[in-house]
Amino acid sequence: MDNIIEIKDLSFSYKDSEGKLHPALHNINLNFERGTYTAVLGHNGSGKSTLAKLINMVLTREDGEIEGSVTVCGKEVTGDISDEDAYNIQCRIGMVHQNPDNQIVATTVEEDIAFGPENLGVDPVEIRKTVTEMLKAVGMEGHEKSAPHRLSGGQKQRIAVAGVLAMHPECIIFDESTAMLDPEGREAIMRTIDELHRRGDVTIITITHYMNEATDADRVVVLNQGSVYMDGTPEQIFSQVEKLHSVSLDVPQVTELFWRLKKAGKYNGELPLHTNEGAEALASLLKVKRD
Amino acid sequence: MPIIFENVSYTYGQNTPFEHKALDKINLTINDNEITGLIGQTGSGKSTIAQLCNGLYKPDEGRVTVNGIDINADKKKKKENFFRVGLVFQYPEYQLFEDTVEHDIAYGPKNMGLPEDEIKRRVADAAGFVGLDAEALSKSPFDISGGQRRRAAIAGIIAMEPEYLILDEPAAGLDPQGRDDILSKLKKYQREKGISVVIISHSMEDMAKYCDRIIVLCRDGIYKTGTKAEIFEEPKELKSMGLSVPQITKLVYRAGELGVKFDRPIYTVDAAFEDVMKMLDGGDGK
Amino acid sequence: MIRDITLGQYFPGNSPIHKIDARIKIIMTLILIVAVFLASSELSFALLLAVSVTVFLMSRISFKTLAKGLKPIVFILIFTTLFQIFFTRTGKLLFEWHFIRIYSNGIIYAVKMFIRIIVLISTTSVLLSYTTSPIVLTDGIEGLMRPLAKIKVPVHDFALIMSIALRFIPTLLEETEKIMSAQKARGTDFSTGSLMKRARSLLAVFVPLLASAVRHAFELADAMICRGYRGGEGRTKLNRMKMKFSDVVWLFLTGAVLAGVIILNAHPVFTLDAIFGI
Repeated sequence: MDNIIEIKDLSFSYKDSEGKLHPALHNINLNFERGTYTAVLGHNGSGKSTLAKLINMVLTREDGEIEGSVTVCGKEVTGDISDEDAYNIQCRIGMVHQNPDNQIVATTVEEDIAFGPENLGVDPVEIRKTVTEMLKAVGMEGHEKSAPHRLSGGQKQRIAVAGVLAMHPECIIFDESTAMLDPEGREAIMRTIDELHRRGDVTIITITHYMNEATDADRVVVLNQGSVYMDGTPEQIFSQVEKLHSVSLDVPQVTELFWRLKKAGKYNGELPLHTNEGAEALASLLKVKRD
Repeated sequence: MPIIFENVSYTYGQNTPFEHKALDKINLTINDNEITGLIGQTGSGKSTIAQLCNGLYKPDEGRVTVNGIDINADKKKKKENFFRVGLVFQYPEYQLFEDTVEHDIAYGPKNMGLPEDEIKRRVADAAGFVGLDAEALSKSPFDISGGQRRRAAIAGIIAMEPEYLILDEPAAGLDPQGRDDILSKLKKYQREKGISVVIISHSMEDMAKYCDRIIVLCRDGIYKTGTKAEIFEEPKELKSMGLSVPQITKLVYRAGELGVKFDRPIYTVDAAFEDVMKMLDGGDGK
Repeated sequence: MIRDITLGQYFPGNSPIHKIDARIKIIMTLILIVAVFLASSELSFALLLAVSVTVFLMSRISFKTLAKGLKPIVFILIFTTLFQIFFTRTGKLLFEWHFIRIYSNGIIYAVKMFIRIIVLISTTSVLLSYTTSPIVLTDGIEGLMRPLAKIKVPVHDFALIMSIALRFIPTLLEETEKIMSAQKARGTDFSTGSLMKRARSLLAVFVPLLASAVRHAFELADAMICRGYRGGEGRTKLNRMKMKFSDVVWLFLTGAVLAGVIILNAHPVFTLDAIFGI
C-alpha cells in the first residue's frame, strides 16, 4: 500500500499567548492511501481543520505542542524538516479553504490561476497552457479576463480550485470549501471533486459537516473531540445512525427513513444513502408487502 | 398588521453602467404571528426584500407598508422602523464591535433611548433566549466561539424586541447541531412572543422543518406563495428554478415514478415514515 | 451595489490608444508634460492642442466623458485665465474702464495658460486613466521600475502590494457597506448628533472592518504560502509585457512632438502679437 499521508499517535495542543495549552487532537492514527477520496466529518471544534493545518504545515511546533508524527510524501513534517523540503511538500499538497475571497490573490482570473506556477518558476508558455486546461477542469472556460470580485461565490471557489490544480498537487485538501456557498455553488464544487476523483491521479480529502457531501467518498472518517471516532466506508458509517446522532451529526434523510423503518422492524436490508437506491428499496419493500 | 409590498420595484446602481433591476413590481404580504420562509436562488432578490422591509432601501416604485403605514412616507420616523422590523444580516457575527458581548447586545436598545434598567432586562432576556450565559456575556465578542458569536449577534437584534424579525441565512456555515439549535430557538421565540419571523434560507430541509408559509422567488419575481404542502408538491418546477427540495421529497417523487403512491406531498422524514408505516400495515400501497 | 464601482475611470475599449503598452503610455505622458511646460510660442501651443485632440479622437472616449473629467478643474481654469487677463500689465493696452485695464499680453498669456491646462489634463486622463486599467497601469509601473531591482529596491514587493490592494478594494468596500447597513438596522445614526456621538457611530463600523481586514490578511497569507509563494526570486510571469512595433512608433512620434515644440519655440512663424498689431 502506498500512503501519501501517514499520521501516527498524533496529539496536538494549541498554545495561547499566555503559554496555556488547549488540547485539540488526541492520539490520532490515520493513513491516507494515494488516489483515494476521504471525507473527514465532525462538528465545529472536533479538530478536523487542525488536522489539515498540521498536514500542510500551516501549524508547526511554534503554534503548539505536537506529539507523534505526520509523514507526508515520505517526509516527516512534524519533526525537523529543512525549509527546502517543507516548501516542496507544501507545493505537493494543495489546499482549498473556506472563504473564496481570501484565496484569490490577483486582479484577473487567469493571473490568479497562474500565481502558483509563477511561484514555481514555470515557463510562461507552459503556464498559459495550464491556465486554459484548469479553467476547463472546473468548468469556467472563457473567464480568463474576468475580475474575481464580479464572480459569484461558487465561481470564485472554482477559480480557487483551479489555482490549486495548476500546481499539479498530489493531494488536495478541501477545508470546508462549500460552507459559504449556495446550493448551486456547492453542487458545482462537489461535481468538480467527483471529476477529479474519477481521473484518479490525485488524492482527495474533504473536510465537511454536510453529511450528503460525504456519501460519495471512498471512505469516511468521523472525528469527535479531537479523536478518531469512526472510520469506514460511507455505508458502514451511515448505518450507525445512533452513534452519529450521539456526536450531534446527521445522516441523509433517506438513510434516516430506512433506519426508522428498520427500528420498527419493517425493513432489514442495507440502509440506502442515495435517493435512487432509496426509491428502489421503498418500491420493493412495498411490493413485498403486497405480494 | 402585516408587512405589505405593493408593486415594489428596486434597482441597484441607478444611472451607472452597472444598473441592475433587482425587483420588478412585486406584491407580497408577510403575515403576523407565523414564520415565513423566503427562498430563491442567489440573485433573486431575497436580501433586497429584507432591506426594503425595514427601510434601509427605498423602493423606486410602489409602496412598502408596515402595520398599515408607508414606511418611506415620513423621513423622521425612519429610525422607528428599524426598531419595529429587526433585521439580522448574513454572517451577523462580523458586525460585533463592543468590548463585551453584553454591551454589544445592549447597543440596539441603547440607540432606542430606553432607560437603563429596561436595557438590562432586555439584554438578559435576549441572552437567555439564544442561550448565552453570564460568562459569555462578560467576554469580548472576539474571544468566544463562532457559534456563540452568531447567537450574540442575533440577540443584539432580539433585544430591540421588534414586531417583525427578519433573518438572512441565520444558520449559514454552522454544523448540523448549530443549525438546529439556532432555528429551533427562533421557532420557540416566535411561538412564545407571537411575533412575525421571516427566515431567508437556501436549505429546503430547514424551510420544511421550521416555516409555516413559504414565498418562492425566481428571477422574474415571486413564483409562488403558499403552505409547505403547496410549495413542495412541484419538485420538478422548483428544480428548474435552481432550487432543491428536501431529499426526502426527492425520494418520494422518485418512488412515485416506480409506482409507490403517497396520498400527500411529503417534506419531512416524520411524515414519510408515518405514511410508509400506514401503507405497510394497511396494505393499501398502490 | 457598491461592488460595481470602477477603480479610477477606466473605460474598456479597443482603440489604438488602448492598445499602447502601459510602460510606453507612462513615458509618453511624461514627455508630453515636459513639452507642455516647455512650450512658449503660439505655434508650439497649436501643435500641442492638435496632438491632444488627435489622441482624444483616436481613443474613442466620448466628449461627454472627457468634459465630466474636466469638471473639477473648471474653477481653477477660470480663475487662472481671469487672473492672467486682469493682472498682466505689459503689451498694448486694449481696453480700459475705471480700474480695469486689459493688455494684449494678458490675453495672450491667458490663452496659453488655458491651452496648457486643458492639454495637460486631457492627455494624461485619456492616456492613463481612461484607456488603461489600474491593473495594467500597476504592471506598467513595475515594468518601468524593474531596473531598480538591481540596486536592491524591492520592486516585486511593491507591485504585489499594489495589486493585492487593487484586488481587495472592492471586497472591503462591499463589506463596509454591509457593516454600515447592519449597524443602521441597529439604530446607528451616522449623520446627526454631536461630534462625540458620530465618532462612536463610526467606531461601530471601523472595529468590525478592521477585524475583517486582519482576517483577510491572515487567511490570504496562508493561502499564498500554500500556493508556493516565497518572494519574488525565481518567479516567472504569465503575462510578460511585450513591446510591439507600434509602441516604438508611438514613442518616436511623442519624441517628435517634443522636438517640434522646441523648434517652434525658437522659430516663431507668426505670433498673436502680430494679430493685435504692435
